[in-house]
Amino acid sequence: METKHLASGYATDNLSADERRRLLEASLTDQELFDRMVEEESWRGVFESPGVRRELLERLERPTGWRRLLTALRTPFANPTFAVGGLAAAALVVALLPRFTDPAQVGTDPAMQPGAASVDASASDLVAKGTPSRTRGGLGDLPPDSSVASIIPELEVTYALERDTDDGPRWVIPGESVGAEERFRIRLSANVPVWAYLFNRSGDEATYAVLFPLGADDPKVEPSDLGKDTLVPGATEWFAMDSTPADESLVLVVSTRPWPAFQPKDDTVPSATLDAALAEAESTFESLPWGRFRSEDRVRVRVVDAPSEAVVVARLLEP
Amino acid sequence: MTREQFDLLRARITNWATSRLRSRQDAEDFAQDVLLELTRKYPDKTDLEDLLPLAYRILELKLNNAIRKRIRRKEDANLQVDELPLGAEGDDPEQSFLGRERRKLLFQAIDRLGQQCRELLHLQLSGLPQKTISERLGQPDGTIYARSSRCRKKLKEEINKLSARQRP
Repeated sequence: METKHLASGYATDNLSADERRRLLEASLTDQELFDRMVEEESWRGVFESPGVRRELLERLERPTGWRRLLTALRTPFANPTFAVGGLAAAALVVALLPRFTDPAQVGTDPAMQPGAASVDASASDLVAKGTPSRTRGGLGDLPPDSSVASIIPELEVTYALERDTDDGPRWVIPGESVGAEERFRIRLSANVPVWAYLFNRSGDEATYAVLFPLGADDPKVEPSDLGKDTLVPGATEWFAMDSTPADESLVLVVSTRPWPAFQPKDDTVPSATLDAALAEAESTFESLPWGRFRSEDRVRVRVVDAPSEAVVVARLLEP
Repeated sequence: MTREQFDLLRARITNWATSRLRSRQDAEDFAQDVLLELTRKYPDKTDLEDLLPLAYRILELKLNNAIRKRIRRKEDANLQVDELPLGAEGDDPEQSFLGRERRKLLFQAIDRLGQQCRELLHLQLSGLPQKTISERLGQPDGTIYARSSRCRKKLKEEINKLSARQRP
C-alpha cells in the first residue's frame, strides 16, 4: 500500500504501529501529505473519545430517511450508474377524478370562483393538456362500488413540497429546483380521511419508484386538526435526492379511498401503468366546481360537492 | 526526533502556514513559534510518533488564533478562520478536543451524510485494518483515500451549516 494512502486510517485508528510510523515519517518529506495529516489529526481528536465513537457507530447503524430513499430508488435498477437526484423544476398541476358522479348535476359555488383566494391555476390547465374526453369509471382495476353515491359537501386537500434548508424547512414554489443531495418532505392535510401515495421517476425510466408508502408505512392520513399537518414520509424523516443530477418526476396522489392502482405491491410500478392511471385521472376531470389556490405556503384544493371517491394528482416535480 | 527531522518539520510547517497566512516572513515566525512551544512545553516527548501529532494540533490552533488576531485588527479582511467544527475550545492541544455543542452538531451532521460516506465511516470506526476496509468495499487504497477525504469534507460542511443555523 502506498504510504500516503494510510492517511485515511489515521484518524480512526485503523493502522498498525508500523504503518502509523511510516505515515508520520512520510509526512515530513511530502507537503501534501503533511497538510492532509494536520486535517486528519483534528479528526483523530474527535474520534478518539470512546463515547463519541460509540454514539457515532450507533447512529451509522441506524437507518435514516436518507438511506431509506436511496434504497427505495436504487433497488429496482441494476444499472449502478442510475441514481435519482439532480435538478427538476417544480411544477404544480392538480387534477381531480370524480367518479360515479354526473358532472352536470354538480352546481357551482361562487366561493370557488377566482378571486376567493389567490388562484394559481384553473381547470383550463387540464383541458389544455389535450385530453377532453371524460372517462367514467376511471382506473380500471378498481372494482365497481355501488356505495359511492354519497357526496362530500366540501373536500379540501392542502399540500406542500417542503425542503430542508439552512434556515429550517421551507416550501418549494413553482419554478424552483430541488438540487442534488437536498432533503425534502411532503406536508399534507385534508378535511376527510385520505390515502397518500408518492412516486418518483428519473427521466424516461420504465418504472416509477414508490417512495411512499413502503414497508410498514400507513398511507392513511386522518383529517387534520386545525393547523396540524401530516408529514410524509414521517414526522422525523426526510426524503433526499442523491448526488447524481437527473431530471426527476415526483407525483403525489391523494385519494379518498385506498386505490389499488396507486398501491402497488412492489417498490416499483411500471411507468406505463401508472402514467395511464394518472392520465385517466387528469383527463377525467373537467367540470366539477373546484379550485386550486396558492397561498404563501402551500397549495389548497377545494371541491364543492365532491364525489366520495376522488383523486388529487399533484405533479410536484417535472423535468 | 533527529536534527534532520526537526528541520524537515520546520520546512513543512512554514510551507503550510505560508499558504494560509500569505506571508513567508509571518509563516517562518509562525513555524518558529510552534517549534518553540513544542520543545518547551513537551521536553519529555522526543519520539517522532509523539511529537508530530502534537505539532499538528498546535499549529492548527495557533494558526486560527493568529488569523483571528489579524481579523480583529482588520489587517486582512480576506482571511477567514477555518471554523473548525472540531476544534478545541481553548488553546491547549491536549485538552478535550470536542466541546459538548460541537459534539451535538457532529451527531446531527452524521445523519445527513450520504450512504457511501456512512458506510465507509462505519467500517473505519469499527476499527478494521485498512486492507480489510479496502477489501470489504471492493475499492483500491487510493480510492478509499480520496473518498475518505471527500466524506470528511462533507461532514465538516454539514457541521458548519448546522452551526450557522444555530447562530442568532
